[in-house]
Amino acid sequence: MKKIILLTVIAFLTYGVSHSQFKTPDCVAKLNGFTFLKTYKLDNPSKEVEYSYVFSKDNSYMLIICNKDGSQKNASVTLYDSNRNMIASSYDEANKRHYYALAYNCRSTGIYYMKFKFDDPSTECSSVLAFKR
Amino acid sequence: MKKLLLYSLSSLLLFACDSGNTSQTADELALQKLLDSASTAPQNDKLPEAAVGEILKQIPSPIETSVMIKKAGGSYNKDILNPSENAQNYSTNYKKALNLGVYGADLGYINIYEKNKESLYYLNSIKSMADGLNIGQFFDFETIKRLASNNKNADSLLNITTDNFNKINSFLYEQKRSDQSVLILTGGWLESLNIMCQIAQKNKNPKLYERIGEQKIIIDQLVLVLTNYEADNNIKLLNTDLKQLQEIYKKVEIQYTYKESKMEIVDGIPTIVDKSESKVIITDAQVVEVAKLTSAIRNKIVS
Repeated sequence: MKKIILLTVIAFLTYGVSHSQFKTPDCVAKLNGFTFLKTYKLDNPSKEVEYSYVFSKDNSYMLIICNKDGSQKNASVTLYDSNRNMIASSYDEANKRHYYALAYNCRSTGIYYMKFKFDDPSTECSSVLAFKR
Repeated sequence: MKKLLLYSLSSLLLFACDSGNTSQTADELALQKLLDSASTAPQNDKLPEAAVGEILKQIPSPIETSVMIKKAGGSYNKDILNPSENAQNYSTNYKKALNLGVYGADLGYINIYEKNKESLYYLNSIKSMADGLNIGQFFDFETIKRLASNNKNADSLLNITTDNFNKINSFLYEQKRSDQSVLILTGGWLESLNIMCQIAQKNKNPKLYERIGEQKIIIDQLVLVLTNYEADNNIKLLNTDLKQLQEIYKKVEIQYTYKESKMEIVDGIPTIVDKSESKVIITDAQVVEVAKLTSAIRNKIVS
């Protein structure tokens, strides 16, 4: 219980939280066989934004990032486990390349953190979380 | 609880100081104010609204549970659902919100098994609950009914109904009606857990047992947020029941082993191959205990 409160409140303080929803047809179009779960509006690109979700063991998840124009340039998502261990990022540091999605075959149920970053403060993005049926 | 929250907030400020970020946002200032008031007025042990919103966003969709039940070989059983005609019995906002969640979970279960004709009855129940709470505008029932009339539209139906529920939760949060949002999520979670328990007890599937045990994570979150609204006597009684369920879950153990993950590019998408593992230790007797109490709480909600 302590851990949940602490991590949740930390997440709340450190990063902005948006509860607005909006249509993300470009993102949804990229689901490709995955089933839609959540939309995250990333409406303040001047800073990092973080959301969290309980991922379930043996499920495959997909996080898709879309710019307003349908591209994924300049935005990335990094996934962390419940102990804040970094799992992976959609940004390939070595090759300086942004990918539009990140797939995760989960083997341990728990709270996961998705941290969104923007290289370009004018970027207007949204993200969709989906899972494989 | 009060000590716990104060401890959390104190840790939070320490963390914020360590972050090296010297400018405070509105959220940070609000939290600082809350911490100040917490130290002078320890009676106030409420979570900040933004933290409530963040917790609510973590709760998994009932759709995931339904998919897992189907994958585990559970056959469709409409007798374990809340009959759609019960909708006429719910007159208070408290019952409407809880049963909107219940019917939402039932609809997800029905949709996963592609019983589209059946889903129409449940859509009417959902419409009735949503209209009663003045949130019916978030459901485009004509489109949903059109999609439900054809089994080929199952994916679209799932996507649109999930999106509708997400929008409702966001709207209620923004309208300072988070209590109703919490009740919708609680109703949906309890119904999913009840369906899972009923099926698990029949087919003894270890995967289902494990998934029931994993709900320990969720009940901790729900009890935490419901505590915020205990000034409402109905919510207080509901949370008392959930705290009993939480007591059973305290005996369930979730072991977690961290190992660094690997990444591969599959079809142009970075795909994480997880090496970490979680293991749930739950006995048959504990599953029976969880099932009995879940059923009892759920029956109070749908009666």
